[in-house]
Amino acid sequence: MKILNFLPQWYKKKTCNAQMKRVMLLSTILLLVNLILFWLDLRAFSSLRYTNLNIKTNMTKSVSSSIEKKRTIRNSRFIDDFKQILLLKKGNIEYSSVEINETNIIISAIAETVEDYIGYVNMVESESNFRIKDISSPINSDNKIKFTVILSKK
Amino acid sequence: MEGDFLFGTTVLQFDSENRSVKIYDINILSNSRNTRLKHNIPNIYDITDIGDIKSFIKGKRLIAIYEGEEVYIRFLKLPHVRKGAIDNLINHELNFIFKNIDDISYTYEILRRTKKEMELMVFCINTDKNRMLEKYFNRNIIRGVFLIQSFFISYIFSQIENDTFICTFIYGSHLYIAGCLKGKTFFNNIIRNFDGNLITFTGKLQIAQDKFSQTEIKYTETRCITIYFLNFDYKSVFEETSKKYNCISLGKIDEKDLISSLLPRRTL
Repeated sequence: MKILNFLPQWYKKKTCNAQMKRVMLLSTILLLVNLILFWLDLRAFSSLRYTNLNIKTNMTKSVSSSIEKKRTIRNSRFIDDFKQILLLKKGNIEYSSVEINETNIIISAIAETVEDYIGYVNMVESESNFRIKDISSPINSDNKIKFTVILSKK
Repeated sequence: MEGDFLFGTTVLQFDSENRSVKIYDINILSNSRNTRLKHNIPNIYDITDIGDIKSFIKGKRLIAIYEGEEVYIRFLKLPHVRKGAIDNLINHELNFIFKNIDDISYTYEILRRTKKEMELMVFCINTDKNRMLEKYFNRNIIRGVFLIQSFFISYIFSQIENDTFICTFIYGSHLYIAGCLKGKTFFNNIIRNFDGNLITFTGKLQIAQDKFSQTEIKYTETRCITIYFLNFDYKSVFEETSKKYNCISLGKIDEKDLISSLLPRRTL
């Protein structure tokens, strides 16, 4: 037979309140822990994002700078080569015009004799860093030979 | 087990007149064969010194036993609600019945539960002893508040084979009468300062039988219900009652044996 337990109202309320308080405390602690973890996650994530961004910026910077460098090097080489072309002038050759664009150098020149003309063409082909992309047929005027050569990088 | 809640507790036993409080510890001594009760000699303090006891039992788990408290039993029909809401409904119901429920503490048993409604048996006591508990022992863990008659009824129930009976016993100077129907106490009454007056006693027995006749038991059958006597010193009253009713005496039991009988018999 069950022995009846007449716990007073105040005690029931007290234990109920104490349990509620315990539950509240526990849930508050859980909430706080969650918040802290979330904050830590967020911090880690933002720092990661920042690092990523930095890496990206640095990479872009380095890539663009390397492109720039390459371009500068290429340009400087092109100029050097052009200087070389200009210096390769042998025999009686006079430049009437020199036009430089992105890829080509167009040279209009006048040779004294046919030998000068052939010698110049051979020398450009063999000694310079350029190759003859196109050459116009020589024009004879006043015993001089006019011609135009389009040179491109080898 | 029935008496498990008693282990490792300090008992505060309040007398019926609120004059004194008896304090003793209940522990168990175990050996290879069985467990037995270690029940120290009770210290009896005057209720006015209760403030001094407070420091003595600080931090102990308590059970309170009240003497001489009559239980008001009510049958309530409530709509089927979840368990948590039952207390609320009972509170409102008691508020409606008693108007002021500050000193009332209750417990209940669910008798029947259907999909729509449920029938409850609500047991209430109206006592100011609870206030004393609140005032002096509100920091202690209180395992339970019990009535002395509950222990006696439980003991008698364990000694007999019937589940429907009337029992009567004397504790202190009061006589307690209780009616049990199918293992549930549904009626109880107290004759305070009982002096062996047969008329008063038979009057209370008649009330008990009337209560039985309000149940499924027919009035003619109520006379056949056995009346068990425990700690009953008044032989003449017992003999006179035996002439009319089916009476059995269960002898005497002291407080220590009463509590021991509730302890589980376990072998370790």
